[in-house]
Amino acid sequence: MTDHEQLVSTLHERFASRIHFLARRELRSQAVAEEVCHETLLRVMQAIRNGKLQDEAALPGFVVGTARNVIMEVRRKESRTAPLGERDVAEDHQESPVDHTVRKAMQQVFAKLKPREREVLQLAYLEELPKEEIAARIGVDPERVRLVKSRALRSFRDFYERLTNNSPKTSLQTGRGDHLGEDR
Amino acid sequence: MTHDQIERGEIAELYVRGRLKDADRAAFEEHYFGCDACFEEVQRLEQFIAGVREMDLESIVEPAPVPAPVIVMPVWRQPAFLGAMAACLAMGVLSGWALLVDRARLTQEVAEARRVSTDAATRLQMAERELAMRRAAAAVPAPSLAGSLPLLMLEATRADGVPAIEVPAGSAALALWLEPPPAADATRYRLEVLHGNDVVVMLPGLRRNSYGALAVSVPAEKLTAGAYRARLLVDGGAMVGDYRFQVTR
Repeated sequence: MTDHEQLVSTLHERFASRIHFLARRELRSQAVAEEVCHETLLRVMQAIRNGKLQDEAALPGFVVGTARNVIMEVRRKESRTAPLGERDVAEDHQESPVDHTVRKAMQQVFAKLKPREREVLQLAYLEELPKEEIAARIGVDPERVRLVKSRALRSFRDFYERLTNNSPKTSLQTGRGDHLGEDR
Repeated sequence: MTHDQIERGEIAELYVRGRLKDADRAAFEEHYFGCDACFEEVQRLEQFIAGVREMDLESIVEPAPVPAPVIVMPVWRQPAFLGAMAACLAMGVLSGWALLVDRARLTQEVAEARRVSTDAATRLQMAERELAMRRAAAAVPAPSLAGSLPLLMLEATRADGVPAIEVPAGSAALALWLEPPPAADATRYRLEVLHGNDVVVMLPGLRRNSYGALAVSVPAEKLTAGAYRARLLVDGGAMVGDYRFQVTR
């Protein structure tokens, strides 16, 4: 593998999923998140090759800063485009973080919870109450509320990892690709 | 931002729920961009919280226990009860005998039902595969003109020659669908698309989707009319697939 290919591969390995995660949360679109991811990596790669980044410890901060800039540019561009009715484009595919595996894991978590524990989760995440209010409502210590949430999350993590270790994953991957041989 | 601060302040959860101030949010993002454990945590939290919100809690709350009915049988009903029991027993014996006699026919019917179900399952699987391909293609923004994304399925060997795909003017991308050979069971792949001897597209870090295939979008601007070769390699390793296709415009 050439140095260039190695750099592309390393940056992608370390940061692609993080950039994609951030962009999807900010822009609520899987497809646009993919574009942000590739544009960000391209800019980071250019900056590294131009010697703008000397300290590797600063790389995560640089990458997230670049990603935020790209996201802002996308937002500005979207706000300038014509209303949807005037465009003949396919709808962006908006993806929830809840897929089949998450649902299965959640079902397993909830099957093991006591009714009061489920109530804690409902009050915390559906009604968005602070833990002190939840504690007062159901008559327990606020620390107990925190423990219930923490255990449920740990349980979810365990089930999720077990389920994902048993099946391959992913989705369409998009990319600008890299025009090798070009001096950027 | 340190791990201790993150844990004490329940920062990851506040971040996922959009409750951090800008400065804290930026600091946490910079942290998880460099910390695998915190990135993993924030992804699981996002899934967990969204999962709780999607769960229909009413449907899984345990119903209040229903007390078992108490049956008190008056004395005069006992002979009648015994008679009814005897009749049930006789019916059971007759039914069992009929079942034995009819066993061969029932076995045949079960086998037929199984065959029909297998055929239906195969047809369903093919339909799901087709749907997955179309969904994968639809995940990429369509060009403003045609509203559809050209999709090409690549196979290592084709009896009917090199596949060709027409990429309409104005298309943003071409979707490629590849199924790596079963022997190449890697975690990540790299795809290289060549025009002559020049690599025009290189996509590292590709992972299989839930159908075990790789679905990839290639920018249309990279593919002028002509003959192409797509090489599939294990990321950082050997080549596992070699495909040819023709692009027309």
